[in-house]
Amino acid sequence: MSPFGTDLIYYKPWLYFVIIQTLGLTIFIIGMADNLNFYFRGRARSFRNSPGFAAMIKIFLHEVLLQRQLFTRGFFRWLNHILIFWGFLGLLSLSAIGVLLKIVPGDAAFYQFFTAGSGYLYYKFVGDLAGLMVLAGAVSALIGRLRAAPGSNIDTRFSDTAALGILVVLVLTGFMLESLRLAAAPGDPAAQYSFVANFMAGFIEGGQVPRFLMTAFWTFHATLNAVFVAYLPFSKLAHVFAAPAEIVINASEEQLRGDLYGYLR
Amino acid sequence: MDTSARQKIPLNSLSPRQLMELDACTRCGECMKWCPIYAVDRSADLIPGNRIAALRKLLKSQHGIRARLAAGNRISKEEVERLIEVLYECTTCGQCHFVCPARIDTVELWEDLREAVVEAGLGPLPDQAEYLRVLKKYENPFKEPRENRGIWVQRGLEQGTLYRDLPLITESPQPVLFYLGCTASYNTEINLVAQWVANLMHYAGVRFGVLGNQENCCRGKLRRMGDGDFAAKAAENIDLLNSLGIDTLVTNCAGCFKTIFQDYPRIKKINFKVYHAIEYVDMLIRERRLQPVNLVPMKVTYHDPCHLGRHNGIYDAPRRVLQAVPGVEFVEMERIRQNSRCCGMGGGLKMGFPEIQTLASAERIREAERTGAEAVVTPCPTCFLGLQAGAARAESDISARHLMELVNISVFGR
Ligand code: HEM
Ligand code: SF4
Ligand code: SF4
Repeated sequence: MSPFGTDLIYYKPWLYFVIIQTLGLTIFIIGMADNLNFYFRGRARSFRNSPGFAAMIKIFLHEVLLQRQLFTRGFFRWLNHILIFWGFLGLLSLSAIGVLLKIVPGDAAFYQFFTAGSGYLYYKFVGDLAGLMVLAGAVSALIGRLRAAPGSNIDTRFSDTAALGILVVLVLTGFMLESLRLAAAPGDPAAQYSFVANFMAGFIEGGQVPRFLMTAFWTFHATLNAVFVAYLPFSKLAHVFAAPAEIVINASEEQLRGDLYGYLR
Repeated sequence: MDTSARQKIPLNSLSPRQLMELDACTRCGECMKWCPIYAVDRSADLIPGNRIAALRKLLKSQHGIRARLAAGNRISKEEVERLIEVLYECTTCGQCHFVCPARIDTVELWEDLREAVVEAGLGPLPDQAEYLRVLKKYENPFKEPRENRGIWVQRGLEQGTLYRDLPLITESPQPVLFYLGCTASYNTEINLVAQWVANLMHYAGVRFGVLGNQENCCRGKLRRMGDGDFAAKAAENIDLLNSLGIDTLVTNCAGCFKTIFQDYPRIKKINFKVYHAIEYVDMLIRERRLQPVNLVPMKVTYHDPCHLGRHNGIYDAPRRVLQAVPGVEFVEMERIRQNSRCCGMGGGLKMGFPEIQTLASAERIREAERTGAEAVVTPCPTCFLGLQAGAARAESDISARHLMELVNISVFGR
């Protein structure tokens, strides 16, 4: 069974899927283009000194991938974020594989590995692990946000919370879909690799969920995904792209600032 | 202020990297916990993260697709005015930069945004504009005549506080220029600091001179408040300094130091090394050309000036100097080095919001009090003045002292 093999269990409106994702992606592209257009209206030079690539690579590792500055601001703050960040990276890699599987020929070793070989198991395992990471990080950020909001004066606008909310529901519905699939087709030898969904499937009696509800769920999940993607450039999640880029460029400008990056001295 | 919400703020002084920074802020609130000005003026608009959010909203409504789609400007005149006000209610101390998880270079951003606002004719605030007008006209902010800039040498010699005469570098070329800056030239109390530095350099056998009446203001305040004339005015001064044939410039003012050391080379190449006096004295002590031998029995704490510390990474030299003075018992405050609380004197805040400045200084004084020290010392004349006012405001027994005074006493025994 391939990662795209659940068509056999319930009906999926693929045409709708293509339309809604295209729509989401189009809005995303327009938003990003608007952001980029805005950035490049700045007329001053981004690099005042000649670019220091060594510093940029070093800071990419320390500040973007490991998020050391966030760590110095608090362990839980860092943990929340790194779970979301790395979870996202995991999900993103899986999506990339998914897209590739649609492109490469059926007899390619890559295709075989992920559809018939052990790659499928890894795919399922990493998918659940990454989803769980994002979920854990996002839920705890949401709780932190709702708890901290009244006392704090920082501008926590509704849109910030909404973005987090969408993310949580998105991952949750993803897990639900996977568990419904497992529950509807028991005996999948790969089920234990989808450890979160498999655990959730334990609560659902096999086949009791009507197929049309599964279709509805699937459609909802796909729609929410498109909404999330479309919303990215307009929300504070624009930082997902802007922060890593600006941190790396700033590092080149500030490479001599041993005190700013204390550990680089 | 004649502000129209439709008045477009140009993006000439901002780089793509900086506009990207506006999108990189997550409103995480870390800056809110540390900003020394928000600590004394609890208006939510002042929080750096909120300021960035508001600026992003304003600039995006004026530039890009959204500006074209939303024909009218949805940001009210009052909002724009408030935004410009908070942009100036900031000492550009750089604390927010050091705690920001997105590493937003806030000081650079604030200064360049101020330049954009000035270009649009919306800034600076009236009192600051007057300050800059005076500065440009008189070449100092005190409306003092230029002929009086160098009279301190004669006065110091007569009063016996300056131990030896100083050559004018334009008449007798020397390898080292001692650059005073406006405050040390005209403010008699701060001028003593310059005299102490001169005494120490003489004692150590440094061959140096001064510019006397020909010394210009470093013009750094123009940059701090976003005046677009800064580049041209600085270039003039760079040409003068480059023509002197010096190999080293030493200044006792942290503001002049930042301007000459950091801002000038971005405008034009400079052909000399730049030291703050405390770094230079530290070097002289380490080379054993200066020996602080006389006891100065005193429990002191040290205040890091933003322009030396966060802006230029000079944390250790002044501490070494302090510890080289025998008799001094040195205790640290809670917030030091990268996290040192700004005294409120920088960034033109004092000209626009004098009351807030005093409150910020008083806050720093209370931190100094908690160490049990009898004095808080600093090597920056501006911080020194700020802390003095803060001590008066906080009705504190602690005194603010200039670090150079302690060294002078220890070396000369008087
Ligand atoms: C590398 C540069 C990045 C930095 C410095 C950064 C920083 C931050 C900060 C400070 C917050 C607020 C969290 C808090 O208040 O504790 C945040 C939130 C968030 N970040 Fe990032 N981030 C970066 C990249 C990313 C990336 C690449 C992703 C996703 C792929 C991401 C996803 C999120 C999400 C979903 C939130 C919302 C959580 C919340 O509101 O607390 N971030 N980020
Ligand atoms: S610390 Fe940085 S990212 Fe966080 S709110 Fe302040 S400016 Fe924004
Ligand atoms: S530079 Fe200093 S005063 Fe200005 S916003 Fe940042 S922390 Fe506050």
